[in-house]
Amino acid sequence: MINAGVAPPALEVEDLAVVFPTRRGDVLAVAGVSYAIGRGRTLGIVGESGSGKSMTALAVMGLLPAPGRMTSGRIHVGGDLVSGLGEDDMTRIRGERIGMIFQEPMTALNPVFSVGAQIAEAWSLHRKAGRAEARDAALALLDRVRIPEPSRRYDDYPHQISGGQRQRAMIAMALACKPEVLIADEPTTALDVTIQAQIIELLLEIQSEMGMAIQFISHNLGVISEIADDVAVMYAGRIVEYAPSSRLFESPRHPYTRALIATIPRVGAHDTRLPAIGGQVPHPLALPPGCPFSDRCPLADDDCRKAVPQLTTQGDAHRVACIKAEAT
Amino acid sequence: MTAPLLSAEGLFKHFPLRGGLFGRRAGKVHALNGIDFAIWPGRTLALVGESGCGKTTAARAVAGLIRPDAGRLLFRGKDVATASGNDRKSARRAMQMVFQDPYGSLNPRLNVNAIVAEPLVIHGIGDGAARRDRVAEVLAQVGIDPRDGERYPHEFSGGQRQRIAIARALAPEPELIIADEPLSALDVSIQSQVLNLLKDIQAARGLAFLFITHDLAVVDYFADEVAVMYLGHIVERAPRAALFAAPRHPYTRTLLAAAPRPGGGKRRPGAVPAGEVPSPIDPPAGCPFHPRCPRAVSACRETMPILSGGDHAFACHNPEPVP
Repeated sequence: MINAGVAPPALEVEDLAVVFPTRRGDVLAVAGVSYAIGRGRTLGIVGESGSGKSMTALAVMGLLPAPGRMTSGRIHVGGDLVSGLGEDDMTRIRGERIGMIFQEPMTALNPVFSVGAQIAEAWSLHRKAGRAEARDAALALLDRVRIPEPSRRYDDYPHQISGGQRQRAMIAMALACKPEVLIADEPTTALDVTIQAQIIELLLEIQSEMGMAIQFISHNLGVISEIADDVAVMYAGRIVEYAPSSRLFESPRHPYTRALIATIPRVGAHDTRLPAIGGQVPHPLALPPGCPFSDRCPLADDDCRKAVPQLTTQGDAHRVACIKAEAT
Repeated sequence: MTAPLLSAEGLFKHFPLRGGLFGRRAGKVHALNGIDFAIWPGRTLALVGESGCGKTTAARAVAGLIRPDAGRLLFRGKDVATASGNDRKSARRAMQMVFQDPYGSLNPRLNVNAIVAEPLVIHGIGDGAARRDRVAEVLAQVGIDPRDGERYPHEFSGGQRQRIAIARALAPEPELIIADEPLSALDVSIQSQVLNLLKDIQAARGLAFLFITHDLAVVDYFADEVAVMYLGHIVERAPRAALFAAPRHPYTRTLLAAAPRPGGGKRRPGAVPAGEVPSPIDPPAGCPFHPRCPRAVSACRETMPILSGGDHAFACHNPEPVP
């Protein structure tokens, strides 16, 4: 871009809605979600099961499982509209501009090809390059993600390496095309804590080198805190709070966020009692009227049950969907 | 000091691996390599460690679900394996287990009343009416409406199912609950409910807990004593406060450094050493942690350090200095 005033964000999602038709009615899995992630920045999306965080990621990648479909929304990558593209175009975007890593690496790795061959293939997919060159590139990527002895691991099959190394191999594959956006859906959830720490460190390091934007999805606020610049808290298909990470943890405004942060046991809190959130995440077909958190919220009153509160700015970058937020 | 409720002495368990033609022995998994611990009445011992450390095998051995190859389990000073029939039965009744997965651990064909009554039936406790009363009582204690007793597990959420599993464990009035990662399958907002419930039950009834977890924050919240495990060994064992204030084993320190802290800012590089837990099929010689240990010295590659040091014991040739 020659005379661009402001570069467009690496990823921009506007008013995304995803519906799953079921026998008992349409489930609104994602109910109008908007966010943007700048180059080199990480947005952490945190939520419990059924919050819509994974469906948001799958919609961005054009991989919504049937019968789910996007009923509204525009998705831009580096300023280019990618939502509504055909399958072939979307496959190309996924290879070249959006990389993906998941909780279970075997969803991305093919069990019948060696780890090295798969990374080499991902690397050469959009390049005119010979086999030797692709092999060298794959070896460099294996080394980059700190898999020890890359030349020996190159010919290993996915089942022959540990879970932590499979996660590294999947990261190498996702990075093969130097994507502008990396979507990471619970990539450390199945790992032991020491390996989780190593993977987070690796992602931070690679991000500072390559400058890609990361959308990092997790149910674990601790993990989100360790990687994200900004955090979006999702509940029942909506973003209920959005703020720079330090702000969110220091002064959460939505009663759900406040409760979530307060309920996590932490080292040094032995003699306190954990404040618990009563009830449970509502079934998507049985949401309470108005604010979806109103049936569990200590602040809720009749006004909260009248309409779904909109995400509104409360001074610079902090946005909250709660009509009681100022009172808290 | 009172006598321990349960003590484990030199628990040892290797699982044979079968492979190749005709299922010949192809090696063995060194799950427990001789571990000792004790649980006092009304107190909680946490076994903490990563996958493959042997914590679940230890829990299953205590619960009587597997037989250790060597070592003894003493309940109120009596060896469970050689005790008379009556003593063994009362020990089994006194130790009840709560599993990680509340979906897999409840029989889907039984209603809640039948699930919770099962240990009463197995141990021949009470008659029909007494059992019904007991079931209603423990369901109420765990926050399940006894009127829902005719319903089936699939009608309940994960958190409610874990409450039902806890009610089942409480029904025969045990003295020790063995809880194997009881929070891991639950949503964050439900975990604190269940953790509070366990703490309340312990306070109300003076129950002892053997609590298996990978989460040090939960350990700090719930435990009185902590044993840190690595590849089938206890590498550090201490009262909770002492362990968190001054971890002496480098692996304990690594675990603490790896635990994510909400609101603690971005992860700083270098806090956790490289490398992974070695395979329990082919563990390294010497100290099992030495290939990853930033403090390893030559002795660590040769001999397994002995767990020693009284109340705050650790198995390390070159321990962390006391801060």
